[in-house]
Amino acid sequence: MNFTINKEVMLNNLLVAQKALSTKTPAPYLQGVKLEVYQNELVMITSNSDISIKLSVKHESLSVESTGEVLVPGRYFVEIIRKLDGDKVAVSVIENNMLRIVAGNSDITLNMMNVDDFPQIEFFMNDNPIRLDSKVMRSIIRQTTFATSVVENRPILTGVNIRVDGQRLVAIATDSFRLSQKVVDIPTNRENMNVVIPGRSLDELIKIMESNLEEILVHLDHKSILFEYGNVLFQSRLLDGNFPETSRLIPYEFPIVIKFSKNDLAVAIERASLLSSREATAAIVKLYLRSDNVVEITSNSPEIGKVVEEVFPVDKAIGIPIRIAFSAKYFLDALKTFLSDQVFVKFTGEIRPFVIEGENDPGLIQLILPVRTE
Amino acid sequence: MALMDFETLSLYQPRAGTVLKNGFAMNRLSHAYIFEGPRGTKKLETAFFFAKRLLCQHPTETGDPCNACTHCKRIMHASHPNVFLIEADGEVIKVDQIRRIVQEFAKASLEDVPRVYIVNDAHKLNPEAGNTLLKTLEEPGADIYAVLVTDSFNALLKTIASRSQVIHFTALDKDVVRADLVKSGVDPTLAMVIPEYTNNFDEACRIGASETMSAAFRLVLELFEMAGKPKKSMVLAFREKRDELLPDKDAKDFFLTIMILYQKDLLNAKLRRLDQIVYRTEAEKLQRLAETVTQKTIQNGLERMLSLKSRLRFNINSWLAFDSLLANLERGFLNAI
Repeated sequence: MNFTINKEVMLNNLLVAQKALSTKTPAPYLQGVKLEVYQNELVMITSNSDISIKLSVKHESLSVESTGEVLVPGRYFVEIIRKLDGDKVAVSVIENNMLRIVAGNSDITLNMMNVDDFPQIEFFMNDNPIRLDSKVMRSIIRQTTFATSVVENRPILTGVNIRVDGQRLVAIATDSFRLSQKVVDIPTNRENMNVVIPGRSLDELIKIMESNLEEILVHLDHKSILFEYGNVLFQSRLLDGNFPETSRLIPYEFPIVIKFSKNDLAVAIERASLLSSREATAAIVKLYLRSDNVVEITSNSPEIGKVVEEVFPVDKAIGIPIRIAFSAKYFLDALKTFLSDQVFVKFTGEIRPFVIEGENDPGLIQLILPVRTE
Repeated sequence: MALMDFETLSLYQPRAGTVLKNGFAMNRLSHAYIFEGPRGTKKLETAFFFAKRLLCQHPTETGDPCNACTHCKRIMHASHPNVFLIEADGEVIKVDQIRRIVQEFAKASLEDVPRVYIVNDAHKLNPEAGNTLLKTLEEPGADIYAVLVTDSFNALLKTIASRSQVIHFTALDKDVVRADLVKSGVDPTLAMVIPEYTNNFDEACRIGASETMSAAFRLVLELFEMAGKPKKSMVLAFREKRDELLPDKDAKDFFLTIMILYQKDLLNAKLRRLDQIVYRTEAEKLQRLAETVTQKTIQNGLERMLSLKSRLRFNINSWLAFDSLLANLERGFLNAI
């Protein structure tokens, strides 16, 4: 194997591939970058077993003298390429399973790993991928993954459920105390799908979607899901099992609806959560809709102090007075997902789940379970 | 040395070989096995062999793994992403190690082959870890297999044992161990002797490869070479070499054990039970020496050795005890002439 290529091209691609490099896994063979060199193409593959990335580089500066495939220690290789001088880098295999890297005034040899030890990852592409606007994909990820469960008692809840049904795509994440659902319209696709993708994989996916490409293609297999984004193939393993049926959880009739300015509400809740004897992430605040149409946000920790915030709804609230308590963190997390300046908070009862919707965020619903006080 | 085929496995463990081979042939594999038996009986090797056969994409006509495909090779390199080995990190296997494996199985497999997890020394699972494992054992996902390896079956949680198929591993046949030792380059006479000392295959290999142990062995031969020769003294020869050749307790214990074996052979030679002689290559010498002494003398020596063997565990002056033993032996051989 012997090739030369523009250094920047090599580095930029490696930085993408690096996202799937395994750092703490006990498996040393996953800490490598697999390079496959063909006549006019350089392929890089990395995997941490949960996600795998395959990059195809066909750049005009690529000049291949001989083909081949090798497994190089990822961390060292990336750092070397990053620090190299010169425009061009020449990479070749020399005897004793060593890789020689020549660029500018540097001449570096690097011990390689056994290429046969690298997993055989099939990047499965079907003929009819689902096509999504990449902006839509990004917002779906941003608006859902935060609500996935972090405790692994029920592994299925650590993932985001994505269903494609005709012209509708529904993404749902829940940790059983809150739920985030996003529905978007998409061009008709021939294939439907219903999968659960690990939330962490999606968080990585959003990081590689930096180049402003229009479209992302989704290829679905029974075991894995593959996102095609430019020259990057990003594959994630799927979670096995059935995602809980959530459609009945979301109420459809709301006797009480309050319209808020998003910022006013967020600031009030943040302040109220300051005086909490619990950790900041577990602070509980109370919301009280008074009969004079003013909303009180309060929190009371006898040993620290008491906060009372008055928030004025944008319009006159619909419905009867209500008192409800909830986790401040959940509420703030949910508020952050909205682009709208004004949000509707909709209640059905004091111990029933309530819903937040945005004025200009069609299809997005945040549901939170209240906390029982008293 | 990785196991390559069922024939070799059956050589070591006929029953386990048959059970597993039939399991594959009839497609009636259990989703969880417990390989149970004394130390050094090839349990862990068998577990990896099982994984290899399970994942191999081109099994041979005889039902063996091909040992050549990428799956087989990577299992032998311990680098297959679908084969998980869980081992105690210290004294116990902790619950976090089991949780990691449970999380792994919540996801679809990376490669399109079955997944196998092997728990080595499964009796070291602490109760919490064992209980976490239970659910996975009870409702394994598709194409997930467990092999629990242990030498203390009774220390396993009953709930785990009842969910698995138990395969008992027996102590290895001595002749098989001998053949393997010779194959790995151990002196043939020493190879005859070691299995009498230990049934543990791993320990046998260690002794076979250990310079100290083979030096102790040569010392025994050398000493008995002198027996009955008035101009040479066993006691003096022993005193000259003992510090260098028998540095620790293990070496002394091994030295005495193989000396006992030699003395027993002497008795066998005297009684004309030639087929029972362990030091087969020394048979002629043994017979010649046996001619010169009475059965009573041989028995006397043997008794002294055996009593020293039990006393050696206590805090005695072992050099003095060995000296006295050898002096007594020597007297016996010399008086006989």
